Amino acid sequence: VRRLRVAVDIGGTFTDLIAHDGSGGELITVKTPSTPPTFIDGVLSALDKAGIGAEEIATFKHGSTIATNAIIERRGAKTGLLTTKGFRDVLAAGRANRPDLFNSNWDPSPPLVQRRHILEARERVDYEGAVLEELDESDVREAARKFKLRGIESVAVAYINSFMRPEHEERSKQILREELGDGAFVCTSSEILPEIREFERTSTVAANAYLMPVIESYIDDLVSALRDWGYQGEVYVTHSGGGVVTARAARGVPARICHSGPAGGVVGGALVGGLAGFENVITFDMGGTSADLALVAGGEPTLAPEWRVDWNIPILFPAIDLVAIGAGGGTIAWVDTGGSLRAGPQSGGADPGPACFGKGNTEPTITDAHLFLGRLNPESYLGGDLEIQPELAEQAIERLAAQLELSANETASGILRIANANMTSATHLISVERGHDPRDFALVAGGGAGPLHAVDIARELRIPQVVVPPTPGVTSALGILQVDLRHDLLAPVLKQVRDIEGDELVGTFDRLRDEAAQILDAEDIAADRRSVELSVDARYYGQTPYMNLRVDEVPTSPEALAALVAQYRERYEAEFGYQLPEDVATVEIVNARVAAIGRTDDVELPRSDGDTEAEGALKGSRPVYFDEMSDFTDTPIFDRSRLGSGAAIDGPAVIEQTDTTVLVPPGASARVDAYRNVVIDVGSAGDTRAVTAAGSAKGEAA
Amino acid sequence: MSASATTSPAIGSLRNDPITFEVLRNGFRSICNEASALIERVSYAPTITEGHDYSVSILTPDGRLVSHGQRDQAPHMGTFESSVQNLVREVDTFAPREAYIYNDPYTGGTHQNDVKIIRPIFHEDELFAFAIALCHWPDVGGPMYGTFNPRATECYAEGLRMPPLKLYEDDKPVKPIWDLIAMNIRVPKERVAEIHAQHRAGVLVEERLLGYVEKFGSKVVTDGFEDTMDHSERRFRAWVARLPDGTYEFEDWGDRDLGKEDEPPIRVHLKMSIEGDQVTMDWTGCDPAPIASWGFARPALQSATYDGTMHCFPELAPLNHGVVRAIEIVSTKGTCVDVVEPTPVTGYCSGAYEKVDAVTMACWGQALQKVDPRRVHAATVNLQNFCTGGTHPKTGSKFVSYMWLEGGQGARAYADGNSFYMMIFIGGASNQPNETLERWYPMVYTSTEAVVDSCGDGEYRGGFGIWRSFRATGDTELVVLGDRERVGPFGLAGGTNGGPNMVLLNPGTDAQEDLGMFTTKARLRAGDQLEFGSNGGGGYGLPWERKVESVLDDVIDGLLSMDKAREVYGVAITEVDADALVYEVDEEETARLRDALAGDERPRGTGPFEVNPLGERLFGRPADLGTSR
Repeated sequence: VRRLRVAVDIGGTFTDLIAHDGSGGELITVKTPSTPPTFIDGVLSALDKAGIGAEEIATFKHGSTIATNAIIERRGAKTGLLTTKGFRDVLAAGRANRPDLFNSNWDPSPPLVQRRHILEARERVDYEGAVLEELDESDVREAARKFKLRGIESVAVAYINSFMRPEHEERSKQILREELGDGAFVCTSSEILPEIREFERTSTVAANAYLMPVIESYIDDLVSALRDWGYQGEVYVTHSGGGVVTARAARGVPARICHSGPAGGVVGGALVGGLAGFENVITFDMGGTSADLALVAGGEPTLAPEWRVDWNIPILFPAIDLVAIGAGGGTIAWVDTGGSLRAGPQSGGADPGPACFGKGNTEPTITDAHLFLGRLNPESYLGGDLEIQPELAEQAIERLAAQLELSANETASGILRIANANMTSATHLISVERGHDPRDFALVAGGGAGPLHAVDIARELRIPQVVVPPTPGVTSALGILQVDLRHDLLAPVLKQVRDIEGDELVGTFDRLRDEAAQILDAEDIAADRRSVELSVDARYYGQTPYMNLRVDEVPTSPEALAALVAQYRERYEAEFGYQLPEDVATVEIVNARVAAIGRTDDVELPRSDGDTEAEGALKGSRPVYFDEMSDFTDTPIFDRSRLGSGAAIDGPAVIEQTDTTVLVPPGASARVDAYRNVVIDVGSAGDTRAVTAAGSAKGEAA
Repeated sequence: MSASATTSPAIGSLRNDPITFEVLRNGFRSICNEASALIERVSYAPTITEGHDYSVSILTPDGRLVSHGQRDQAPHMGTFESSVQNLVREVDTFAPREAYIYNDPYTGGTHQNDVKIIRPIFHEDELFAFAIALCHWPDVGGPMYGTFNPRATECYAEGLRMPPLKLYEDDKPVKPIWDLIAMNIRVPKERVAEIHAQHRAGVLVEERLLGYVEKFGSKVVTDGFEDTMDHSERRFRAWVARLPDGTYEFEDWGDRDLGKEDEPPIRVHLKMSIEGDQVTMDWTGCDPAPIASWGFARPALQSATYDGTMHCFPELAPLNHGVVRAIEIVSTKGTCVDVVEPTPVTGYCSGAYEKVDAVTMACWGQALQKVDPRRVHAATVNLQNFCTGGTHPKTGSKFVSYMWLEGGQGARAYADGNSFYMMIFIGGASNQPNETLERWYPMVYTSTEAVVDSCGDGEYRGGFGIWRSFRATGDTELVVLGDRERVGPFGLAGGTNGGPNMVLLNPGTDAQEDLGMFTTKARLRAGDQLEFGSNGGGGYGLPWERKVESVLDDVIDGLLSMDKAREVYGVAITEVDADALVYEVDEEETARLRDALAGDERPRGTGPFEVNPLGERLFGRPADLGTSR
């Protein structure tokens, strides 16, 4: 019997499955339509289509957008919130700020808990954790009674300064459980996220409570469906931080599994990049409505300490640090009243989609521009599953060109230049601005549109190489296959290093390590698979954002603490280019963190060295427009499925595959590596400048 | 400069091709955004790192604004043209790797706390652009903690004023200049972080801008500056041309001039004239300059006029010189909106800025109401500058805090105003977490909750204000410089003015005191309770035409009392079971109440919850504008 590791990525449209026997054999990949609202039939049909038997599965991991979507579509539980008396509007007030300076028509998205269901209890803890007012238990019982009367399905408890002293929240949870029944959904801010800043913490626990009933029933249904099907093993779920937890654990912290979709993609991109020989990669996934970019340095994805579902709904769990830009194949190009060509933010999405879909959108999109410029095959768009009408794209582009007084060619290529420039600016934020030099990175491109833009974006950023995996559509599932089991625990410290005495941190870390050990026991992780990583969040005392610093052991001696400070200052200088003088800013430890990890074996993908000639995969030629030539040129078209290892292709060329199209512009050269990745040398910086200068010279003449 | 009469897209007038133009236009903005993000990450005071009181912009060598960060603060960037133009007048020659510090309000700014660091950017020996990074410093000296001084009658009693001074030479600090500043402000050590952040932001702008120069050539980038301005001007003029020609007037009031014995209110008046695509903003009808700190100098008048305008045309963001040069602003020196040295100005933002901004929006609103009623807004919560200072009883170190409150957004002609809304002109700013403030300052917060019934009423109501009250845990001195305690944020079309701003000491006790909006060095002792509450936004349209369900929703949410629902909105609600949230509307009684209310005997005036007579006369109700639901 094969022992397969199975990863399933459940998206809104498709369910992707990857299975692998861990020995370097062929990957099994399957794509089936998703089946909302339960998604379970889609999973079972993917397993069926892949020909996998229940007894063959060693581990089953999956990622799902169900949690994120439940918040976005407001399909969560009827939720109540219990807070400190006087603080009823922490959640609705948020940070009171707005994303756009001048837009008075902007409205925040509705809070997850209505004000009427936010009840108060008398209690107060100060910033050091001292009790200023004891918890009034009768207030809690009264609140429970009201919640019950109103049919509240799930309750969050969030008190001021509870991260410094969780007892009041813990006691309240007990009382709520007594009053509402043992099975009631109750979670507290100090158990979910004991971190300073009342709004962000309350927002996180409210989201968690909002999701608990939904995610519990989703997980229970999935697990029982898999049991019925015959699989008896553990079911894992991916989370925002690029790891998995068991389904059992996910039921208690459902907010953790929001935003996990992009995490799989980034980890998958890192894996592909690593196989192609690049430890440092920027992953670039461009689909129908948006593009996600993330940075992976030394094989480790960068984590951000928080992310937001909506502008005013932050969730303070570590998440892969992504930049999402509203640029995808469906992004609409238009001319504003000042005569400027704009790309987005409006998008045709998948429906009505680009003009060439003929489903009612008549404005040109990025996909229409590619089609018009010959980069996409009108005969077999998406492997021929979708019929498209090039003449509709042409009409749309020509209408826009007439408004702009440009040629249709210039207009179509201009749409792409603008989108590329916007994506390049966004990439700056996660690379150059964080002290990384893009020249040390490779760009791993995925999504239906990513490999069409990758070389241009790489050139703009001076990234020397682009990697396109063999099946970019399932990178996310590949990432899920690879990720470790990971629980992130934290405890507040909030002390300046100079005030930390002796082994003060030991107690904090010991508690976290105990908790980590208990979790790994509960998750049934074998001793040789366990690792526990310690880190601290540090900042200059007085600042808000912090940096996470890995430590090998708990710093206790003055020397160890001094080394920690030095490590912080070094990182700070690397990122921001200067240090603050020591007498100005001392370093503060914000949080102690422990990651409880159950390691997964690295995925060994099939490898075959070869010296295949590209000619065997040549399927014809057609005129394709390139900026570098300011014209169409007859361009060879290759079939990706027939391109073997060792094949080499000089641009200009187009490589077609069922889920994407790879553009190799003039000056770039592609080769297929032993893992059947297409690795593109984008051309030297000198060539790039010459090309760009020619482009802008043309612009000046226009 | 482009022909001013053009109202149609004029592609041919672009210097660059439209593609390069759009790439650069977006690029300039993203450079500013990146530099703003840098300041957020590396500056020091909660005012800046949590409150976001900072801005970054790019200007041409002759001081015309090109772009700014998307979440920066409008009062700042609207004065940057004056700042750079004056800097260029004052300094004979610039050199690469210099930076100038500058905060004088009369020649180039807002108030003394807004400290700019300006970097000349060179390309091959030639001055190519300026980068400005501004942070609101929590203190720049003077007699009061936080520098705001409600009792000042001259700027010399406010804080340190700096002409443009060279603070960096060859990218190294000029020590004597810094030493002079440090000797004259409180907690100077903390400001070292701000200076670093502001300097570094300028360096970042330079690096990124020169990156574009390297790629496109300096001519293309310079042309990009001009094209960006032309583009905004064309779009703005196209809008103005769509509006009916004519004269539009509005007025608003400051509560009182504390410097005069009878403390009279202060009038701000605008006459806006539109002819074709030309607009003139005439502020000559404003009252003379007050004695106390309320007014502002001409650069801030320009800034507030631009801000009010941009809120009516938000798609024109970012603000740049194209809009600036398309608006003619007329004012009289020595009035409250064009004060001269030494009239104090630290209170400019809660004072004149907020009124000029609101009145500008009300004049545009009159012109826009028939064309696009979604651009019509009643007045929004007014800033209260709230500073505490002293010695922290636990750490023994000196502290100065600067805080403000969000409040109610003015109702829109098609929708309610949002509650807990940052002041209109600082949408990028945030509140500061209680849990952070309690660690820094000797205070224990007692509330973050809505001021019940504080909304201006209407068919669409204003947003609700907020209480953020606290108990002092150590001796603290308090300075408050605010406004709109007596004059509510105005309602329109028969909607009422929003509720008042409030600062109350120990309410409900024998030691009760209404500290109000102009408090100088009030002493709080440990245990004193300070109640700090904010304006509701102005309402729009007639309250008795508000949907009954919306009134009921506000009652169930505990934002609106049943009494107010009955008396103002004419909705009779009975509580059946409050615990289970069961309420009933008596429909007959409601119809009767609403009939009676339609006689409309409400008081007219500018006070909280009165009907603003100008707003009532000049604005169409939602039913007239087609925005009723």
